[in-house]
Amino acid sequence: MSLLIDVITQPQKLGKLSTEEWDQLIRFSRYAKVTASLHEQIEKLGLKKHIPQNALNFLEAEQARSQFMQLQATRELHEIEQTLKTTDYPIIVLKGAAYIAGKLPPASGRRLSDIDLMVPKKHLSEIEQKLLEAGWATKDDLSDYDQNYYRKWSHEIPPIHHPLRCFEVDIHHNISPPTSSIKTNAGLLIEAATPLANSRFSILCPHDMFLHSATHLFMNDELRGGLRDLMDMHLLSAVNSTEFWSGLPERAKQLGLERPLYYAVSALRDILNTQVPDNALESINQFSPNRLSEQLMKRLINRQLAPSNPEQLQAPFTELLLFIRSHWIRMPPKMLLKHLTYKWWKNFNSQN
Amino acid sequence: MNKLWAACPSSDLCAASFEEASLYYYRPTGETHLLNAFPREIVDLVTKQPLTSGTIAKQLADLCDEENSEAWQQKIKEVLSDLKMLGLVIETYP
Amino acid sequence: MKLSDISLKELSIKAKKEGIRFKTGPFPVRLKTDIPTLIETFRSMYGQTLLLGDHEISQFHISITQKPGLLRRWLKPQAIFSIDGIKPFEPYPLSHAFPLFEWGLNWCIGTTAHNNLMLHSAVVEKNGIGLILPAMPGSGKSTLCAGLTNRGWRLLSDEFGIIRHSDGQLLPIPRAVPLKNNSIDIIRRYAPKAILGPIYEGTRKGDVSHMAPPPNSLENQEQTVTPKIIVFPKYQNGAKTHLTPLTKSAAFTRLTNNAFNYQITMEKGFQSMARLIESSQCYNLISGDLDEAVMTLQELSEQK
Repeated sequence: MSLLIDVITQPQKLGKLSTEEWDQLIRFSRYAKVTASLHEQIEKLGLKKHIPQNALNFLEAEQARSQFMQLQATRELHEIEQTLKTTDYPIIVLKGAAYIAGKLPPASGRRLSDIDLMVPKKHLSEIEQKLLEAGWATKDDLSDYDQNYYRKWSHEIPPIHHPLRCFEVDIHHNISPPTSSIKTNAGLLIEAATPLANSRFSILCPHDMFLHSATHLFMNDELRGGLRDLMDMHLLSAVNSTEFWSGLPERAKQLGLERPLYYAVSALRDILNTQVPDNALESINQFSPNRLSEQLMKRLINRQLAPSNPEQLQAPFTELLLFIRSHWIRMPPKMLLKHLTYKWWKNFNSQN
Repeated sequence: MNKLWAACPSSDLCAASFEEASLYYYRPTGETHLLNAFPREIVDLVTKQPLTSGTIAKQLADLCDEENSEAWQQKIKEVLSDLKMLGLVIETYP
Repeated sequence: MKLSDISLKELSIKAKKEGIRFKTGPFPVRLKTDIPTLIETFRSMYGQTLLLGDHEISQFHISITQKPGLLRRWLKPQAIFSIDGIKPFEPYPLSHAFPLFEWGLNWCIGTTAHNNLMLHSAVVEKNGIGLILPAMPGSGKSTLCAGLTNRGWRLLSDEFGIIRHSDGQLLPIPRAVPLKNNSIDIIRRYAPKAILGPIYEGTRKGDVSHMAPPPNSLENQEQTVTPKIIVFPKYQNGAKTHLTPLTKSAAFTRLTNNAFNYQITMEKGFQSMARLIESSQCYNLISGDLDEAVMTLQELSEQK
């Protein structure tokens, strides 16, 4: 995957690849879900005539898909906005949809299949009610256990979608669940959020957006496609670079997100060679875990985010470890055991 | 002030016209809509210039050789409402 | 060098090691497999296809292998389809490795190749006239397609009507034509010289056997065609064969629902569909007899 990292950090190289390199790149970029971004770079740099047709076909296909998903997302946001016009509490768009709505660099070539929103906890029921009344619905096949999990222990109501459009909408009241060992004050996030012009929606401030991406990436079930998230953070940090980095460690402390920040910066420096100013780096290094955890996590991250063998893009053992870890962060161990047992049982039953 | 009906911006649409019906691709939503001759005629009328629903009803009645009755005018209003939902026409004021 | 120029033994070794690179229509594919029946059938179906070099670009890197497990291999041998390490489907019985390959590759194409508009249809060509036969349940599209290709029509595809946005040309992707249940016998009688592969029993669609794509279809798979006629076939047992014209707007609507990726291709898809419909004559065809259906389409094409 160093080939992919190479062309991400130095996109002019895209015009100079051999067919063998293109063959590899197709597989890595598909895995990391960054193909459409590569296509945008090729267009921006005027490199199309240097790209073999077989590769170009693939790039254009992914570009078409990404554009469609973005249109769907924009449309869904518009519909939600129409429905929630009369409310007055902050509604924060998170992640991919935020990059698109806010016209930020990570929006380029982005694929997304759901919209994440965050609202103050006390308004969660109301927003759910309003959307359900307007035609959105929860998925039919969600069991009572799953519904309960979402409501009680997670930080979301169950995902909803509008039957006419089938685009998933997830509504949160925080960026990490109440049962996890990470406690973030959602109020701080909401206070610092930036309203979008001519819109009912806001987006997180730049620091919080970065920290959320880091939290989402490292504390979640899968790191697959996580290179995309790493790229996002790289791009976000490049806007107003010195100012950005100087305030980041302090903000992480305020939000209790020191550990995800530490891992994010390690990965950014190791994998994408992101430049971090020395004084910021010094503060961030103090957030490191014990040496053993750190070594294990770094190995997992590198293996998962930047695998080197296109024949082994899915590493089951690594994924399992990360899955357990992320659920442990989300839930106390006893609950985790019960939850995993239930999930395993459900999976087992559906395969037989 | 009388409400006027106008066509959506032309940059929002592209059309493929056949004898019996036309298809419109509406760019903001990515949806494709099929309009048979009747609603298509309404869209064509308001594309030329914004009109009130009363004027649309009269002009269409003349075109189709129909009586400009209350029922006819009501029908026009319903179609306009549907077209608005699809995004193909918008309400505006002079 | 064509696949048929290489011995089965050599091809099997290659399939196991670095994989076989070939092109199916506009799609370069690499196939790796250790399953002997798959290589054998693949070679007999696609013998006229050129073998590509090991350093060429492939869009899909497909691996079909036997599912591991000592007891399982003995009791219930299975084949698994994987693409870049991802296994999108449940395992198939090992003996059905070829249909798994065919169906899996279709899935890869249908779900990702959005740089063109893709109709779900058979496409054939004669005298420069492209005839599109959209698939609907119970249409008998594959049987009709197989019939036509044995009466002088070139097979472009049984499954995908690929339309290039830049110029509206139909891109061939000639593959084995899957015949189901009764169709197998029908085609055997209708075209005794057609090459049919093994019969796979008990698949989700019943008994399936594949008709090999005729040599001229593989040899000419780079040759695009201008679409001129669209016929929606419907098989109806005992029905009198009749062809009725379809309004263009009705054909447009039906095809947008039929296509694999009309919505995803957005405005380009709309423009390509509009151009296709504007330049084609559209019909419904109801028939209970293959011979009559083929002759009716033959007459139709001669009128153009």
